Amino acid sequence: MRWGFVLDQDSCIGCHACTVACKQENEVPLGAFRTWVKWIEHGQFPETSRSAAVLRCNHCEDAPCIEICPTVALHKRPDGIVDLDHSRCIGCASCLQACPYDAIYIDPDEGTAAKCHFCAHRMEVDLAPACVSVCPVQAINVVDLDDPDIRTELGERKAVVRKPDRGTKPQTFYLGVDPLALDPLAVDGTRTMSHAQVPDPMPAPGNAEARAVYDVPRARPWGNKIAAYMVTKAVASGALIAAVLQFWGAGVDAGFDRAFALLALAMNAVTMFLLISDLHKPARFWYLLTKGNQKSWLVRGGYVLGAHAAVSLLWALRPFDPPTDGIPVGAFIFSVFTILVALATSAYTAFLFWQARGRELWAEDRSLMLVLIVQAFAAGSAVSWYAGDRSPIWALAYLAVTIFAHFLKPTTEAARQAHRYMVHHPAYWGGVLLAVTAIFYPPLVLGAFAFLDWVYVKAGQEVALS
Amino acid sequence: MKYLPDQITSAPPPEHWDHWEEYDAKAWPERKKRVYRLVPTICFNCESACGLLAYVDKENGEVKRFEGNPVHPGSRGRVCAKGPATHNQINDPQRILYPLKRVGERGGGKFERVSWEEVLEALSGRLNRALTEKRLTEVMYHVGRPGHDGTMETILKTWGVDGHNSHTNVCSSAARLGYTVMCGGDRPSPDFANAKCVLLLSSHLETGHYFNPHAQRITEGVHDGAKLIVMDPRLSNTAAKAHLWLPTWPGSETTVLLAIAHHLLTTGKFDEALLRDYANWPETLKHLEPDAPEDFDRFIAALKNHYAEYTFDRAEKESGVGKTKLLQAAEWIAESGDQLASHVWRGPATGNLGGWQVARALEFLVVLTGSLGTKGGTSPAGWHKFKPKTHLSPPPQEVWNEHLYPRDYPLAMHEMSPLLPYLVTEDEPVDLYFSRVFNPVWTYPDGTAWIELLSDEKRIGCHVALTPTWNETARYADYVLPMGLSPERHDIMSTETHAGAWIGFRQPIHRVLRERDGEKFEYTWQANPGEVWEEEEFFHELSWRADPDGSLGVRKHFESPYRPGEKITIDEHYRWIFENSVPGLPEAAQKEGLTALAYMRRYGAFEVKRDVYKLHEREPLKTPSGKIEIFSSTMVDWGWSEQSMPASIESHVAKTALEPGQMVLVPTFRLPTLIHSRSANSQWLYEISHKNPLWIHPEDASRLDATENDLLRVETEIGYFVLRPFITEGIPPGIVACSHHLGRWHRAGDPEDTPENFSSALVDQTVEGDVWRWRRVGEDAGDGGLGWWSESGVHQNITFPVHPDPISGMHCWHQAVFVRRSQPGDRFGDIAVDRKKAREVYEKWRSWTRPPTGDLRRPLWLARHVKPAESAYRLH
Repeated sequence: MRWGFVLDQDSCIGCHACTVACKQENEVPLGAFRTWVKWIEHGQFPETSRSAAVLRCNHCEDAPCIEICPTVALHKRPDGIVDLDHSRCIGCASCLQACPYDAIYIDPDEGTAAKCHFCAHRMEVDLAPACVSVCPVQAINVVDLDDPDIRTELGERKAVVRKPDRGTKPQTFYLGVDPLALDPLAVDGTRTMSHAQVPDPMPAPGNAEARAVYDVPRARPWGNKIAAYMVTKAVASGALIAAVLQFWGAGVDAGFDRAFALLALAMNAVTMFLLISDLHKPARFWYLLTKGNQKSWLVRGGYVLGAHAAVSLLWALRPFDPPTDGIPVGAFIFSVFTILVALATSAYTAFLFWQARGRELWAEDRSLMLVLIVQAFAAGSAVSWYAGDRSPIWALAYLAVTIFAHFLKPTTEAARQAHRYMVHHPAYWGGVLLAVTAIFYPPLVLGAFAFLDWVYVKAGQEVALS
Repeated sequence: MKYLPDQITSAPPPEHWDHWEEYDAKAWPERKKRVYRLVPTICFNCESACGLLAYVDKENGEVKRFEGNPVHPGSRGRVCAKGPATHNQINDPQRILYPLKRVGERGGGKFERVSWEEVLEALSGRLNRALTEKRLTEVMYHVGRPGHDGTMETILKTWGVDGHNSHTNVCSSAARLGYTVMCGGDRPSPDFANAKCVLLLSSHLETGHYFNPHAQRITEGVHDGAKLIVMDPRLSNTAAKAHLWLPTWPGSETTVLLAIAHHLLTTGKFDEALLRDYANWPETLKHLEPDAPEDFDRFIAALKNHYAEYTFDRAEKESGVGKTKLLQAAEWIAESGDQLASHVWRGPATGNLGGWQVARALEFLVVLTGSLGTKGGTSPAGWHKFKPKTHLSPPPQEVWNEHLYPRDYPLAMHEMSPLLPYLVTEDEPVDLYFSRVFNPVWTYPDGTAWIELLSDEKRIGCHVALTPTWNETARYADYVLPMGLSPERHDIMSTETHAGAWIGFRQPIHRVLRERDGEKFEYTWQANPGEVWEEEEFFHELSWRADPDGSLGVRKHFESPYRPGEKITIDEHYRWIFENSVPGLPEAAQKEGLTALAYMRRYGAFEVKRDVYKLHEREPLKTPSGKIEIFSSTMVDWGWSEQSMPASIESHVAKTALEPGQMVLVPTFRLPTLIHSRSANSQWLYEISHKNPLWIHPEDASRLDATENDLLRVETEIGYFVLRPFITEGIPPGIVACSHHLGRWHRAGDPEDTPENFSSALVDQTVEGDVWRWRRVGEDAGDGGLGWWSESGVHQNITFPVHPDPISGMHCWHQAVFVRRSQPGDRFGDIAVDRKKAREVYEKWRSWTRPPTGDLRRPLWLARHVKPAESAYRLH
């Protein structure tokens, strides 16, 4: 038994009964929707077309939300339903970034994620989901996808799914749907809606073939704290690298290596603070350790940050002196290990962003790892400037990878739209200007990070997912 | 595709309704068991009367949710968005929970709580004095949403007053007249599910009488291959689902329909047998060719000849829709054989001067195709509706109230209620005025006239507002009496949802459950939230007290049929109905070992008939001749001989009637998520729909140099309103449209002026001479409250004058307007109205009437609400 929805848009009249029934059943707060109806319009009078699509969780076979969820709050039941255990959820919102369908929201009252769970609580007493029961025209069907007849019929009736290219294998199928209604990249959602407001809509795609006439507000879950976290983490990595280099280099007398290690430790703490305070359930941050999903890069990143803190502390407390002659093997190995930890601290974020499969600017970004590694060195170089090391080489390298990333062609349409948004944003050019200036004054590279990381986080979320 | 696998049910079966276990949704995935009792009732949020099932938590008595009642034959377990929205309504922080009495001046918006005892004493005394002094036209009950089938009409008869007023003349009178004139029933009952062609001049896939049940069956019909044709100037969601959308210019619909009729006649695709056997063809022929011999073929030839002027060329010119599309529609209709299911209820019938002829022309197509009463065709609604009798059998009243039916509107299908502010004077006042779920200040045209009327204590002696929610009219009441919502009151309803008949039973679920547990209540308000009551019991009590010694002859009607001399209880009232006037119900109940009342309390609905077709073959139609009347002698007899046949009347917004630069405003369209003026207490509905921008074609917007961020001013004959455009290809050039639900407002200090408000704008209301103005206070939108949205729409109806159709009496809603860019100083939501101009328009339209020349006020055969004795019809 594997449950799936079949949404028959030929029958659907877009009446919103499902939306309201779901709100009632699941006590969904204002501003959030587990299922909603999107209406679009295209064509010229009198050949005007208006069509609806019911949008919701797809209960994907390969659900990116489950993979990224750090605490196994999201999980796949044996009957195919992707369910969510709010008691495990820490409110990190990473599932909102991983889902390519806008299907998840953070419940403003509870601080935990929520989404369509196929009314699993009803299905277990053999009662159809609320949206199914209410639908005046029986357009919302429940099917057993293990039933070969159903599979055949879906094929014969040319059932389609949303964004098949995202590789998520959706288990919510559409019949008779206007393809544009399922393609957010073809629809301008910035125009006036016919009977509702949509505050702060996603930017219009350049080549919209239709306009939305009813839609619901969209979330941009990650903001300044996540951008700041990228900067502080880069400094934490860079400072640790700088500490090691100082140790082996000239300035040990001045104690710069210890100071930098302490700086790395402090920035690690700030990074942790930013991450935890960005949780909607910060008091549950320790679930990352006790309920951790080992596949989630939030958890893996937590380990990396933990290692970074430990190594930084060791360097700060350094029980050994720098070599005066020869290279002690132990110190050397530890140094190499430290550099690797520092680089991992910076670079693991690429895996996290790649795991955010809904946001294609990030998920499809082939240069991200490189940029992050260079960021760590550039941050180290910026820090070293205070120890007298005034080489512009890493600032130059950062400028180079920024230019490289700029011209690296995005591979998907959504990524292209996000990229276009990013490179048209003033913050982007502010960042580039700072990156150029940093060649003459390397500490300014941190300012470049601030601008460019901020606009990168923002732009990733400026493409409509649904 | 099988809609559900076998093991999954869409609703718990009735045998589990007393004890239904499921898991708490909020606690999930923790398996926290909840036990509910399921009680059926019917929805109160439109007139469809869909079945609801209330899930009442056994532990705390709270209503967890409302779903569809699976055994209801009309709605079949499914409901629209407005059904679950009942949950918002019963929990609305702004709802009225106790009887209130005005403090300070009328209209000041200040009230204090009083007891039901005090209310009943005051009102029964007043009613007693009016009845004793034979002021039988000074008591009026004015209903917005009835939500019941006729019980108030009987109660009013027991008082002997002619006092039933309704909202119908702003709603559906026109179509009712058109249908009545041709086939005697005042509305259609299409058998959509079995149709081959569905022709809608309505938007039944999103709204209307009866949205959910009809949308279900239209969808079934279309699924089985029926063609769907929708005539609507605006691309409604229904039009968007159609195989053929005909965006006809308002007022051209009759011409288009008659051109199709002509096509059917000339191509021979009409049902000869139906016409020959059931239509008044000899009279029609006599009218068309007075000297011709009585010969059927001659009749057909005369009919063809008569309609020869209705060509597709003319239809194209008037409607703006290309001939090819019109011909396509005609062919699909012809191909449907006798399976044409069609409907018009409001739309063009209510929009246009002469709109009643739209319904008549549409019914003409039903007759020509032979679809009258067939499977897949269209029947008179009366065949598919069952209206049980009550134990009350009062004689008809012997008075005629000219506040309701002024003599110059002899054919008005319903009370001339939009004119009430002009008809009620200090010399002829209304002493006791009950408004019931009714908000004319906001809903009606010429709302300022209503404010003046209701503020004037010399014209309205005492205003009692019976309402579940606050509204713009209740502010002008002396008593505001909270009446129950869907799960808090008793009513019986039946609607013609398909080719069968059923009754639905609304019931106060808390009282029902607590009485099941052994408690006893004298009145429903004792078991409801706060002291919310229900009309039926209230009016029984009021009537009983108004005639304390029985000398007025009122009291005897309210005696128990089971306990002579004693006051009837609500249980006895329904027990009598279910035992005595619903065929088959006592037997069905007996089979389950239940009384008829217990059966209805358990199931909430009963199917009285199914597969009802072709009754005209067994009984006469309700026209004067008992036949299908193509020619109507009534029209001739009452001074409108030019309307004796289905014919097009030039609308007040026809292309030919507009001044240069004028556009047509279609102000009547509805949204599937709102409830006329009663959505304001449902946050889920408002969250989905909270603004009503002006639909305008890109060409018109570009002519005005307007973007969607600009403000437009829409100027009517008597004022203007300011709003933003919704620039869309979904409306033809030259026409603009605005949804009627939105634009609620309140003044500082009104009962709605609370932080929780999410649906109504705070405004300043000013009056200078004849000019009234409203302006929003504070921010652009000025609302917000609980919701994330900040708009609540713009009130348009108050800027419309009355437009009474001289024949049907219907208020003709469409407006000829000038749309301009906003003027300097205009702000979003600004409204202005000139009372003097409003009166002038009223006088102009009223001058078009033709008073009767004979002795009668009105044809005796024509239906009338609370029909008086024949003597009251006499003018002399």
